[in-house]
Amino acid sequence: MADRITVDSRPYPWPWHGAFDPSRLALLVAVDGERGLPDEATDACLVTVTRAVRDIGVTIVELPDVTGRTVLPHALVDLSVTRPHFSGFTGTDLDSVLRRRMVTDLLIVGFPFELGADCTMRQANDRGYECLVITDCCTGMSPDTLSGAIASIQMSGGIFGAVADSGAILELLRRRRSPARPTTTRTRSRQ
Amino acid sequence: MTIQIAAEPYAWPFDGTIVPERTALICIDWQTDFCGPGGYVDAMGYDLSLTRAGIEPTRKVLEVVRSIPGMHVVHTREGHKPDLSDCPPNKLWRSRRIGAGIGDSGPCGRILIRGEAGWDIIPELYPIADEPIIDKPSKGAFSTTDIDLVLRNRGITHLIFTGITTDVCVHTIMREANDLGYECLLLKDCTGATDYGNYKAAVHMITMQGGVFGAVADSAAALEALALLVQVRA
Repeated sequence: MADRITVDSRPYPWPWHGAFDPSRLALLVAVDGERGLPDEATDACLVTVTRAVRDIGVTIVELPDVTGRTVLPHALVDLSVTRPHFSGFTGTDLDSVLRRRMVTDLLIVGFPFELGADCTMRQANDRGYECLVITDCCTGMSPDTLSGAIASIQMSGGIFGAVADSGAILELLRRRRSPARPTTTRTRSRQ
Repeated sequence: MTIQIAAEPYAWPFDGTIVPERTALICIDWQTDFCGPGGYVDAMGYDLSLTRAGIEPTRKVLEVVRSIPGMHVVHTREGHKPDLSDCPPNKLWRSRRIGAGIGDSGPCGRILIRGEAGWDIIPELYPIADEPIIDKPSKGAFSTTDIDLVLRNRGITHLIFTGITTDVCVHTIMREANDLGYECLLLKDCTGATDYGNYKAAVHMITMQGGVFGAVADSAAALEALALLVQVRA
């Protein structure tokens, strides 16, 4: 079921078409071996958001690289697509897997973000997928490269999509559950 | 004699000397829309001096590359069909929302539309005969065009990047090429972004963890190596 509500994201309310719809949404979790594994707090944040969106029908897709290193608890993963390269679309069936499920909108996180997740987001965007990066569920190769990567997404009206923190996602889910209540925008930022 | 370009984090290319026949200078999106007055980037209110900064260093490198027998030059150009049938709806919506709608009329014609004045490559870096131009409806090139076929046909395996913008089209194409096994080098003064901090981060990122997408050098180092190639081939 599609709801005419959007995430409190930057630089525009996501998704662009105005309807957050779990049935056309997937969460992509890209893990690049040991290059940027999450600390406990980031891991807890990721699990909280994953559980919450999975509960309303979002498809959870983990994208390990050839090392096979994963981050999500196995029970939360609907699909696993191994990436021979950085992009989730190169040399994989990710695109047809998503299409078969009629997924058009993607929540994206990465460990670290700048590698597999960023490559995947760029190729997803080129194919017309609508992407949102959950910033506090990502790690970075370094503070400045992660911050630069997140900033780049927001340029030119959202050149690759939009960004938001987990608080904004969880807040949307609360609004979805209680549509009669007035909308209060309380974004819990972990930064 | 091993001729390499002094680059970070390793002397480029990884596999020894530069072989002109398998190397292309790739010039990404040097279009009026991205660095000229009245184009798409200008319409969004960004500082054009950032995306223009790389024009002259690129022109110098291009001139030398053109004098090396066997070395290739390939250009990319971003734009859409006049009927916008190849423009993803979200891309169109975002561009309109910030007042630089793809296909909208502007001082240089319709923004990012094939055939319009603003869409074409700037005169300083304009392609000459035998330099393929890859037209793309996207930020990357390998998913949506015949660029891989063109490069393979010519036996090109090594790519030296110039172009705009660093963090968007240049990075996307470099990442794609690297994924497919091309050996890539970015010339950091032959590129620029809509924000200087984002440019710096994009350049720095490439050099991390042993060179995740390839290597980075400045044009002076490239010109030094190319001059040796000119001598050797003379």
